[in-house]
Amino acid sequence: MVFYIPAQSEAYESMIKIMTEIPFGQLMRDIHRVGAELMVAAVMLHMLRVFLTGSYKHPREFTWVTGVVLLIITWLLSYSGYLLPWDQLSYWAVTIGTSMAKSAPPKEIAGYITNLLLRGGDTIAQNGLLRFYLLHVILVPLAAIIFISVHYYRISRLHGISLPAGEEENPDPAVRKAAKERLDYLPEVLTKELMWAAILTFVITAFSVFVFHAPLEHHADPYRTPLHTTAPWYFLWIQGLLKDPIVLPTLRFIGGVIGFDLVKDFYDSPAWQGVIIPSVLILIWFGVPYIDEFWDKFMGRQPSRQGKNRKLGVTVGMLAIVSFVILTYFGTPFYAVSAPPAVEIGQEFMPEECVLPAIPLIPDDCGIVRKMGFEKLTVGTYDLTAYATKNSGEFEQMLAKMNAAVAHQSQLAKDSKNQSGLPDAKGVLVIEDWQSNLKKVSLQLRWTPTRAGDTGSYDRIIYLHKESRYE
Amino acid sequence: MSTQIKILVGLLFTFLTCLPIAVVTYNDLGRDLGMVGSTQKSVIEQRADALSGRQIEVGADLFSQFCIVCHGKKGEGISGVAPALNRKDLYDGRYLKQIAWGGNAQTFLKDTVSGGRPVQSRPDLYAAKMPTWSNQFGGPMRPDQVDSLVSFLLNWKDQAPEINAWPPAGTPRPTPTLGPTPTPNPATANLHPYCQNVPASFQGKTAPYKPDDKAALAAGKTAFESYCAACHGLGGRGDGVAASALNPKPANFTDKEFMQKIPLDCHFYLVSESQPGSQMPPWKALGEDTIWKVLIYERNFSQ
Repeated sequence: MVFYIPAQSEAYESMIKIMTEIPFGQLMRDIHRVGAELMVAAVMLHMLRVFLTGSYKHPREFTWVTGVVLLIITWLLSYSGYLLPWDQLSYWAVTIGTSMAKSAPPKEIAGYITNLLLRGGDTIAQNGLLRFYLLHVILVPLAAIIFISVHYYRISRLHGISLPAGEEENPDPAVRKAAKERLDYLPEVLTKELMWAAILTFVITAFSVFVFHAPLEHHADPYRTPLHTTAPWYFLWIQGLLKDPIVLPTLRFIGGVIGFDLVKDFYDSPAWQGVIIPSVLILIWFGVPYIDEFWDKFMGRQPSRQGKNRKLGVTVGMLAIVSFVILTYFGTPFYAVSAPPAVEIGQEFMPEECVLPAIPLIPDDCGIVRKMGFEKLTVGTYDLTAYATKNSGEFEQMLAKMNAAVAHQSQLAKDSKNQSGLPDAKGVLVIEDWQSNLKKVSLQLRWTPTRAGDTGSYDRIIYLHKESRYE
Repeated sequence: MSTQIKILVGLLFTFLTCLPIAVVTYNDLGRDLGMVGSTQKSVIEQRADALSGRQIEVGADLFSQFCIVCHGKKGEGISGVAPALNRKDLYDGRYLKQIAWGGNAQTFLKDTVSGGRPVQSRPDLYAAKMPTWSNQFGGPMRPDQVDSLVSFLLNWKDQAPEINAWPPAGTPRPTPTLGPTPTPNPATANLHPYCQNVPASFQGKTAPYKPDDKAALAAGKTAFESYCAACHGLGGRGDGVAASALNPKPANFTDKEFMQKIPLDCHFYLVSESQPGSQMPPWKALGEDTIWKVLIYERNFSQ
């Protein structure tokens, strides 16, 4: 809030300033990023633990509800901060996220209004940026303070933190412990919290200094959608749903069987997958303790937190984890998204932006060419086919890798009789001196066009400056 | 765990945290604290260099999109169209002194790129008029893009060749050299020279709107009048207010014979990317949709 200016024309520049002029600026940014990711992960893991140990059961039902609210608040805290650097990564991740809101039914009213409220216009621009900034620094933190207070009050004053079920529910009074047994704040609780705070501070700081740096891509450009944009990892499951891997094929299948198109006129995929299903899931999640209580009454048994007495609950939890992982995978670019093969080759070796892996806190990858660095890219024209076998040295190995990718496509074309791949694909890598300390690297791919509209050529060009080290 | 041990562990990690902080202090403040020699660069300085290097990379990309049409592939200038930019006198202050510019090369370039030249400074030498490029003045680039472009231009400073000073006023202007002569292709022989080599990515593109789509025509008219009419004229006859300064002249869309030589996909390509030697800037920043709307409006002139 001191160095950052939430203006479309200033935001990115203030990021650069924070990273290059302000002492400890990058450290603060990295810690902020690492902390945010860990916070989301910790909240989700905590919720999982509470679910699996059945700690949401009476008398802690409402504490669970505030917990779900806190989960959503944590997501919102992280997500609203995502836009603020105003680089390509943040701009398009948030565009994807808010585009879901656009299809909230009825689209003409609810979708339109939500979109307008969130983005402050048809697309994200100055209004949207300021809104996300205010959400991030005022509204969501205030909500977080309120709900954290309620959550904490209920735990520390009303019912205590849940102990392992084996202890809290043990029939043997000698072993049984009451959760409400008091601990002294001084010195017990305070020293424990301070100790863990010190350990975590060290881990996060060391990680931010030595391992991970928060990425900063190019300035946001509404006219240029980068290939393979993704939402942040904790929303990838919704992005996976949006690709509609289950409902749409099922409807198509049923429609095929009964000979009637169920999809065309009746099914609005983004509304269902992006809004209705996630909302319903979250509503069910809120209701977990009450559903559980109802189920126990229905089955006519005593509520119990022990795993052996709640096999159904544990199974549901496991299924939830598995589907979260699978849907997250569906949300990554590995699933059901592919650009034309030539573009994919260009993206693999010379991505337009450094690629951020789907798993959080792994440093981004800027492609093998940028990684090779200015010095090692020797000026010249390299026909990739010449590097099929001999590959001594880093540079030639890179060319060999490129050749392998190109050859793979022409082999694919041969095998599929030109249905996929690139027939007779050839690649040339041209490295030119372009300016002082600036090289132009172009990967030129040529193949025999087989379909109408197929151009038979694709050039991927990047410029590389001597100083712009991509780690 | 006893309280003493907890306090001890907490203290230990607090001290341990000082290690990474010390590293960052050296990285970020090494210069200010005198720990980094004058020949070395501190980490924060290297980082600044890295980011300005990336800015130059972005500028190089923009230059190849927008500027090479008039200023040449490597800023060597195109005789009769626009001056060379890769020239020593532009960066060492001689030219700025000549035109009595108060600022430095960076501010001069930024000003000229952003606002263009409302009046040509050397109409005797160059046919093209520098258009406005910053979207603050109606051009296609954001201010940060202008900054990146300028940092790319400034990167010529060290290696720029000495190009002879500007010829005195009144020197006859050389005829503009058009782009490379396209290889003749029988399939496109009767098309306009600009349409001989339409890149494959544009070949066969069709308009998403019908020629009589009223809504699209109305939108196309608005866009045409704001972006195109200045040169091509409100009636599409190539007689806009700016046309007199241009050579070659803007296209006349009412000329049926001429328009037949420009198929729709080529037309879209020309508007999006422009052509070496043409005076028209590339308009792809308008977005495909707007361009198509403008196209069907333009092609209506010859109906």
